[in-house]
Amino acid sequence: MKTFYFIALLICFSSCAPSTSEKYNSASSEAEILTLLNEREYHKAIWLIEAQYTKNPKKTDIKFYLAQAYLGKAGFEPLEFIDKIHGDQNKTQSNLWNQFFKNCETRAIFKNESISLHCLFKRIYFNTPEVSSGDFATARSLMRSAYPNPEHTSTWNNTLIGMVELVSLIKRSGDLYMYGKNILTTTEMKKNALNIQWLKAQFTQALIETNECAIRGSYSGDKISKFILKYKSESLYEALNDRFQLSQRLGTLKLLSIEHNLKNNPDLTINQIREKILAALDDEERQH
Amino acid sequence: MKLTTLSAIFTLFSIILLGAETKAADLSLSLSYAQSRDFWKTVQSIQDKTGDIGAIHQVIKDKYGKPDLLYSRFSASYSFEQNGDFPEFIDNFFVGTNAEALAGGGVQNPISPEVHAYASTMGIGSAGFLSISDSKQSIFSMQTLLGLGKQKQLDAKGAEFIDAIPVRNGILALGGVDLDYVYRTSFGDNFWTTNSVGIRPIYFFSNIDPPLSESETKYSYLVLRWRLESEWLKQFSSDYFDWSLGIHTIAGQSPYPGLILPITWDYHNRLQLLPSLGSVSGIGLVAKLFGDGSYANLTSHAGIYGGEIGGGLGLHIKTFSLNASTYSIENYFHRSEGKTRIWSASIGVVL
Repeated sequence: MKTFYFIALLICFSSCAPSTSEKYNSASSEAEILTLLNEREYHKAIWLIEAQYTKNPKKTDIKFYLAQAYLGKAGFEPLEFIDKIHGDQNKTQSNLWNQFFKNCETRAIFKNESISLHCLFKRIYFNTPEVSSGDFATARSLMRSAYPNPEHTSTWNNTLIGMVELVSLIKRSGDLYMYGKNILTTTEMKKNALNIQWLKAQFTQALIETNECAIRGSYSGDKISKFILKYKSESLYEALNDRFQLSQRLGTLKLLSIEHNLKNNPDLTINQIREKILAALDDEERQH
Repeated sequence: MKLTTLSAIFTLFSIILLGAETKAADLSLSLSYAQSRDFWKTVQSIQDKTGDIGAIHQVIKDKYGKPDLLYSRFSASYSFEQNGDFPEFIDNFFVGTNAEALAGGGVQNPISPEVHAYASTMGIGSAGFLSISDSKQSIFSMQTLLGLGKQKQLDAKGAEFIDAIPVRNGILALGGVDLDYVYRTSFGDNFWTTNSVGIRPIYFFSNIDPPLSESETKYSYLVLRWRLESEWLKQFSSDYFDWSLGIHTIAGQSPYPGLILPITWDYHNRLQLLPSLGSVSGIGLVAKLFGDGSYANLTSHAGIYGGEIGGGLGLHIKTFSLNASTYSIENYFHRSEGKTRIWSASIGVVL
């Protein structure tokens, strides 16, 4: 009987212990990490997952969860993001809405309603957080290094990485158009208003993102196109499988040709580059 | 053939096999029901919005990490004394049948969204014996369980939300044993303790296909439920009635007094042996009001069970009993944990 009383006493004390990972969560298991993500405790998740990641730097799944926590902290939840870009843009757009592709409507898009890619990309641009630095950039970098080989990556992980790359490319291209117009929308842009090296780096990053996006697209079938557009758009689907087509459809081909131009003409000034960006934008506006 | 019919056959078969003459019989019946919300309604809404990611987002945006649970359970058992043809340590045989239906599910991870839902119906037949010590202080019971039923499962991750999410169907069967030992002792005339220990290993077999996104997932496995329970009661008397007050402690998975979760709940939640210290322990106050004789007419308990507040009320009138309780149930499925507050009610009769 003494054993029974000992056990009963033990239960009394253990009742005071935390019942789930909701309390005293240390992100030491997948269940605990998921609890933090479910509660949208992204700051806390990053802090705790980073500690786990330091202990196990080779664990790909921990790295990918860390990337997801950074995406969450950047304000990018895929389903919510898709809901926002298809919703009424009067709720989200800034006073910069008419800076390019002025004919795009701001009303909500219905299911299966076709929309020009230019207008879709404009919506993406105005709903995407800053991508050149900060949490979104950290997430993108972690995702690339967690699953560097798309051939050995699951369809969904390729889809998510491909979406992050596509959104980054669109945001960066939009920022370059704004830069060409001398409209500096982010702290990063303001800080580097006269920094030609930073400007050149933006073109290089856009090229990397185009490549990454095209290769992830080729391994995720029609998923990215369907996820973003709600239907399989042949033009986007085909573009996602070919970086040349992708650049052409996104209107970034001309921007990427500037990148090529910069390599051959390293003495170009900031103002000359701005003129080239504006020329590229004018071309796109005409096609739109 | 309906599953409940199969259960009845199990029961009948057990009675024939045992072939014992009955000296005194007890037939008990009970029906219980509990629910938080019906997750399959959420599943239906997701299915209705196939391909529309924005609309699906509106359905699930506030549901991450909040699993739902719903079940109903009917059980009947019949016990009788042995006729002397069996070893002496066996006092009673019992056979039982149990029909249960269970449904639940949840969504998780807003960055890499997943939805998981399950449902099953099962008929379970049981047969076993009781061994009561000469001093009437302890009881040992053992029963074997066999069950057969149907299950359906829905799982989707990320890009799978785009297309219609397939519902997978399969057969679910179980086999296992349930062992329990109860010991009661008194200190003086009005203070006594009741302690019990139980263990229930069950193997579940399923032929359901794994989902596309998790093709390695196994759906046949062994689960082990264990439980230690202790109750200390002091009895008081007044001119009108007797009453007792005390505390009880519980250790084991789902430490909720009086709440019997469906056996298939263990399967769908892939019951772990020791999920966390707090989630396998409970402590609470117990009060009992006695009417005529020593039969408890009204019982109540409240405390911290599995780390959350819970409690229940029980009313016994002659052969009838009514119970109502609420607990925060910890769910474990698809790598995630989440609590669900359920409200349960049961009605029972002993003939």
